[in-house]
Amino acid sequence: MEKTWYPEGVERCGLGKFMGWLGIWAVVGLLGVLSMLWVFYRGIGVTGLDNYFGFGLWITFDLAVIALGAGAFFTGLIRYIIGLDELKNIINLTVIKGFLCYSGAMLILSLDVGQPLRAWFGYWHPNVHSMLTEVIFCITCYLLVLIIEYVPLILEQKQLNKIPFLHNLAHQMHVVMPLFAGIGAFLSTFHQGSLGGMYGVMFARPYAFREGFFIWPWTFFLFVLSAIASGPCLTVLICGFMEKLSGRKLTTYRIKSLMAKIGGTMLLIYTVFKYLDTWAWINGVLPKAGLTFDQMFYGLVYGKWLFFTEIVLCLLVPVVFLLTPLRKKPAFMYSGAFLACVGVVINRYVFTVQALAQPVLPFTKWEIYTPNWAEWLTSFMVIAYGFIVMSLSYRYLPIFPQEVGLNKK
Amino acid sequence: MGLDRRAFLGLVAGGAVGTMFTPIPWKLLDDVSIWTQNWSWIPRVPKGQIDYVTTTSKLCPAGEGLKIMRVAGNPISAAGNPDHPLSRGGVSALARSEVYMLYSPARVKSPMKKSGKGFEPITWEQAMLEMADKLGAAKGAVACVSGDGTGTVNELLSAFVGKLGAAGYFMMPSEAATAAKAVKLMGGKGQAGYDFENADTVLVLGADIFETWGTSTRNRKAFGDSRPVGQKPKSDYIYVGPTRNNTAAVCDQWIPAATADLGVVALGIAWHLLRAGATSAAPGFDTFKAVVNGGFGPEDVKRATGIAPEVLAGVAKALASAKAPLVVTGSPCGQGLGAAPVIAGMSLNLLLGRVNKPGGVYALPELATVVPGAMTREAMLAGDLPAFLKGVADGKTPAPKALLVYDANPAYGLPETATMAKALEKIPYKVSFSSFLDETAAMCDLVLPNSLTLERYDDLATPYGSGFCVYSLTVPYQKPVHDTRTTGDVILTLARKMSVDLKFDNFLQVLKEKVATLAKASGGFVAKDVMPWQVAAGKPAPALAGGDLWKALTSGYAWTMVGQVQATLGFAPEVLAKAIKAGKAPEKAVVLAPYAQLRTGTPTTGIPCQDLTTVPDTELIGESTFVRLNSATAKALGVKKGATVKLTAGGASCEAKVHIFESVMTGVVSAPLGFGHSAFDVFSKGKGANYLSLLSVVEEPGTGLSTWAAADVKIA
Amino acid sequence: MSGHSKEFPITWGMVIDIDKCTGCGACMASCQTENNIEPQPEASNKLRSTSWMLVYELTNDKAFPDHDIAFLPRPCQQCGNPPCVSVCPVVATDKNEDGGIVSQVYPRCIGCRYCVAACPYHVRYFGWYDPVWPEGMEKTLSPLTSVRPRGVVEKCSFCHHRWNLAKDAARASGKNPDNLDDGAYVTACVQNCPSGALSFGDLKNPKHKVHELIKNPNAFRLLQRLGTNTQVYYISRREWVRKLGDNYLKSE
Ligand SMILES: Nc1nc2c(c(=O)[nH]1)N[C@H]1C(S)=C(S)[C@@H](COP(=O)(O)OP(=O)(O)OC[C@H]3O[C@@H](n4cnc5c(=O)[nH]c(N)nc54)[C@H](O)[C@@H]3O)O[C@H]1N2
Ligand SMILES: Nc1nc2c(c(=O)[nH]1)N[C@H]1C(S)=C(S)[C@@H](COP(=O)(O)OP(=O)(O)OC[C@H]3O[C@@H](n4cnc5c(=O)[nH]c(N)nc54)[C@H](O)[C@@H]3O)O[C@H]1N2
Ligand code: SF4
Ligand code: SF4
Ligand code: SF4
Ligand code: SF4
Ligand code: SF4
Ligand SMILES: [Mo]
Repeated sequence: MEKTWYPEGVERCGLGKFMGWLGIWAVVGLLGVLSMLWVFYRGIGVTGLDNYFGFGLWITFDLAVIALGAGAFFTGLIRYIIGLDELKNIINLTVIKGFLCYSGAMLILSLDVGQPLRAWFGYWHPNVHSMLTEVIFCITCYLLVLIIEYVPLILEQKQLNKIPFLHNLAHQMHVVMPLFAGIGAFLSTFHQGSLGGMYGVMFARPYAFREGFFIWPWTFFLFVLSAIASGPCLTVLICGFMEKLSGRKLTTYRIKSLMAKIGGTMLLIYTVFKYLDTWAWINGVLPKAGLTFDQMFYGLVYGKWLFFTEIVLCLLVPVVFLLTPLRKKPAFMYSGAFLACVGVVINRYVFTVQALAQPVLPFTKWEIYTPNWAEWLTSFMVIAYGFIVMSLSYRYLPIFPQEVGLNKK
Repeated sequence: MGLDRRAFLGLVAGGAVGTMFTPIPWKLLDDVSIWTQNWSWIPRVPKGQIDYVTTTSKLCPAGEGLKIMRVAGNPISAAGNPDHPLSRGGVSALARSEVYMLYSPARVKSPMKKSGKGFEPITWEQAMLEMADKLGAAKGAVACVSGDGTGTVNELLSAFVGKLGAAGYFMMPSEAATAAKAVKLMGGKGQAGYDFENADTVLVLGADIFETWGTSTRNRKAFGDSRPVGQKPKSDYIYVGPTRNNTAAVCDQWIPAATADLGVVALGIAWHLLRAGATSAAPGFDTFKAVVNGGFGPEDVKRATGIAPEVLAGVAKALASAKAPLVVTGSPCGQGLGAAPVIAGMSLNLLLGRVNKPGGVYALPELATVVPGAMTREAMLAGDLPAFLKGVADGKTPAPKALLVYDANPAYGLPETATMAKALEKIPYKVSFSSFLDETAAMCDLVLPNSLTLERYDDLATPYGSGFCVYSLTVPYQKPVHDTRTTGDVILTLARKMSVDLKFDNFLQVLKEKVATLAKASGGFVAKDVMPWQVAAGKPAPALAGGDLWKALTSGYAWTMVGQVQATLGFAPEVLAKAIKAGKAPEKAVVLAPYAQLRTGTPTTGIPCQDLTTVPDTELIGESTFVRLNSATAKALGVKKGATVKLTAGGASCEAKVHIFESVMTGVVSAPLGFGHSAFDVFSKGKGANYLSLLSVVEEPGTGLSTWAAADVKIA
Repeated sequence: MSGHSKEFPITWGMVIDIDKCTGCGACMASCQTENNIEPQPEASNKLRSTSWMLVYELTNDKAFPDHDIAFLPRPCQQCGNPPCVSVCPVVATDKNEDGGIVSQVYPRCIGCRYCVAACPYHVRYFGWYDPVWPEGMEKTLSPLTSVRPRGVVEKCSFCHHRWNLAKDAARASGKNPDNLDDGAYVTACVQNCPSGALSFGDLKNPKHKVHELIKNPNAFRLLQRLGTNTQVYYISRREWVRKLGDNYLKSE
């Protein structure tokens, strides 16, 4: 019976095994839900955040997830607007990933604001000068776009698609999809940028502050670039991971390699700008503020190793792995993609936490921030949510057009 | 007519959509900002007419006049009263607490009787009956401890106890007692008063004059006035002591010296003054000169204290060349200093000719007592509580049969805390009149809560340190929050019950009589347009409009008088010779030098709840307090920053974390007092350690006074 | 740097004489009760406790006996070019009013804490939990400032309500509320400081003593090179103290 819900012509593991798999994530998710309820009930005092670290794990998590979720809009852009048709074989995966990343981030954000009931004030009393206003606008709009992109996928489910209305709806939605891809690309570019802008405009935080172009600090552009570089990389990683897990081929290596190449190309562009930016930061922003490069680092959690890991190990190395023939070897492609993703996570972490930890007032000192269980459990909840939705989608939705062909016995 | 499912759903949907076109949902949505601000569990702020009334702080030893903001007649907050000479608008963190402490969780809410390990509430009637009975049985051996150094209630208590047969009347140890002893040994009379307002060069020997010593708020106002912002300072302040404490932090010079060496430093400065030709007609000068020249030359002092000769020569020069120099001596922690260093410091004032001069030291007369049989302040200050309790603990002194404790917390606030508690245990019947459930109250058989400052009539007469006689009133501005009474009234009721005649029916009458006697005293005036230090400097004192004094005092003004008792102060060189020796600095010993701050309250208040926020995290983190030592000392001891160490001295030990603080002299470990309560509330209880417990009581040679301002400690 | 300072005809400012501050904490305690900040039993966790006024201990970083200390009281600097204002997504904090006081509108604040991140002076405090007063103590709340629920950011307002009271009083006595006498409006911390370390007034009004004080050669502002253009000035005769007001390269 359950089998009749599978996409046409594919095999799936037994229901019991699948339930067991979901069960594990459900437990993680449930723990997260409980801590979420506790946070809503008691307030975010129950977290490890404080008046130095108003932004912590949650914001780092949001930023990382949003950057990594960028695969969706960027792949959409290339597929629909630029017309690289081959990407249709992986676009569905990027859409779901994007949806998961953004809806997950929204969930965390609703926890993170002190007055969740007022969260919509950003629309009601907007401050047009605030990068955060832009973020609030774009993220919510883009989540709508992602929903619009995800819905036809659901409607194409074998049983649902038998209903004529849903079938037609799905078809119509597909027809207008390039429009939404366009809107999505625009919104997404903007909020990736605004997220970077949020840090770059903090002119009294020399760790994060950047000059820029017109109203946008350089971080605006750097965040866009790093997102569209790492987004496709995560898609590749997820796809590879799903193949490993299911033991089935889902897309051709060529497609993944193409995605990795796109990511790598963007990473190269990003690397150039990131190096320029870092140079300008060290020689411009910091001395102007009376600070030195060395003063930006402290101890282990804020150590220079993070800096070099981010801008050498996670930029130069993956660029080489992803843009040279090395890419042909899965080990290099996957580790290149992995490093690119790690790099963007480190980047978001240091901009969020290290930027606040760095003592600007000369008579203050570095403070250490440690996220506590409430932040970890809720973050894992989002990851569990991602695994559950992705598993269900894989099992029941026709995500991978090539799956049937690639797995013919 | 039936409503089918379809129609129902349609109605609901239509209704929902329709509502969107009304202002209702939008209004509700917009109102989110209002109702998310006003949850039922967020306290409402009071509303009503705002007005201001005045009173005097009794919680803060600095004795500030207060201006109380009220809303609809209820006190809201306390600020300094700009018209009061001890406040002039300034207020300490402790005096600021006067209003909210009415609602302190630590308050004793009704009379309580010990029952097992805890207490049970009883009525005032029951309490009086019981006490009359027990005190009647204890006749001839009733002792009293008071922590109120300025109130007329001491007259009632001492007369009452005296008539029952006193086993002793003791004030909690204070700088006032040490100074009184010094003045007495020097052949003088009256209470030493320091005219900071008119002084231009102030040498501070140990005393934390801007924090715990005397009228600190007034001292700071005087200091501030002599330092107009943005201009060249018009005064010079030099601090001598083991740490650069809050006082030293704003002084022009800090001369590091151990507490035990303060007398040596004073006499070392005297040496330079004498050499420069200073002389005095005061009795004992020649012997004094011989004593100083015999053992306090620059090399002697250097050997004993490590202070370079030119440093003290510089101080002597600054004092000698000043128009109005003043020397103040006191304990860096506000207690336990010997009388000899005070005499040594005072001898500098004698050498400089600064006694009973504007900007110098005044010998202030005591205000007349009004309760028959009452002790004078001088007599009260002569009692030596630590010595007495130690005697009781050791069995050398018979334990009194009953003890009354007023506004005092000897079980926490005395050195050798464990010994003192042991002595208290030996006293079979103890009554505390404490407003808060402090450590001593917790040991008592009966707790009869005193109303707080804003709930009672009370008074404040010339706190120690004041440069002039001063008297002001506290006025009740609200009904007692809990079932508490003014102790003065309780004593009078009890006395009637026990047929002890104390002349008065209630405490208000006592205060009125006190004010009436002040009105008759010559030279007194109400400080309004003319302040006492201006009179000291030569401005004519305004006349006192006699009949209106009560009215003026209840309106927040203070009665003041500039004057001196006629008695000649001498040098007391024999005492100095016995008590002060410029020995050789001991090797390797680490000396504990405690410090105290008003923001951690007094032993009777605990840490006022809002003041806890003002304590830095270099003093308290969680449940641990920090001791301060410099890096050289830390290295010598092998302890590291942030480490938890154990301090051991005199058989007691305390935990502490290490704070490396370079403004502590080498060989000294500096420790905050006011922590380590085992009573009170969440704001005090269990916060850190009480380092007073490490200090042993030592008898000062030549004076017989108990001292404990420093102790050798082991740190591991 | 970024942004521009707004100019206001009336510019309330504080001048803090560091050489007079003993670090007693009376200003902090005054602010707590003046502005309905709840008593905090765990106040020793300085990263979590709320103190609109905070007294920092400064040191010259030398070893005994060359060591020196100073105390630096820190209210909101009421930046002329406030880093915290432009970032707020909902205009819950603004610098829009004569006097130049940076407002904080609690019913508007969504608690995103972006302003907390942007302010380099650690002036902004978040309500981690709903405030609780010991039983009965809420009777001593001030009617002049609202009680904040949890989840919003709060900060020193220069006791804004006192300005309103001063203007009311001026009007009542027929004076010009826009040209208050020196001392007609002072904040709670300034009023209560026993050392007289704090001065307050209209920086633009020549009748007010702060107008002259900020021209003193020993006057400085915190992090001036970042362009925050604060309305709080510090004065110290000690050079090492003045140098701690900003970051300097070795070559400077
Ligand atoms: N718990 C509790 N909450 C209450 C109430 C209560 O009784 N209890 N009362 C409610 C009522 S009736 C009221 S009116 C509110 C009052 O509460 P709020 O409106 O919050 O009033 P305040 O707290 O006094 O001031 C808020 C901020 O506004 C700034 N401000 C004041 N005037 C101006 C101005 O003209 N321009 C700008 N830009 N900023 C300004 C101040 O600096 C301050 O930071 O509280 C409401 N909330
Ligand atoms: N001088 C000065 N004037 C002010 C202000 C100020 O700060 N200073 N603040 C202004 C502000 S912000 C506000 S909100 C207003 C507040 O002023 P008002 O609107 O007058 O509000 P309240 O004083 O809170 O309450 C009004 C009366 O309503 C009564 N009441 C309570 N519940 C009920 C009920 O159910 N029914 C009836 N009939 N009566 C009830 C209360 O007992 C009280 O007497 O004042 C404004 N006016
Ligand atoms: S009240 Fe005055 S002296 Fe005390 S800490 Fe504050 S500013 Fe400094
Ligand atoms: S000090 Fe901080 S909170 Fe105050 S105005 Fe400046 S940036 Fe804003
Ligand atoms: S926390 Fe409040 S005031 Fe601060 S930026 Fe967010 S909404 Fe604005
Ligand atoms: S914050 Fe309050 S006053 Fe301002 S618009 Fe919203 S509801 Fe109105
Ligand atoms: S000005 Fe008012 S709000 Fe600001 S720190 Fe001082 S007392 Fe607090
Ligand atoms: Mo209101």
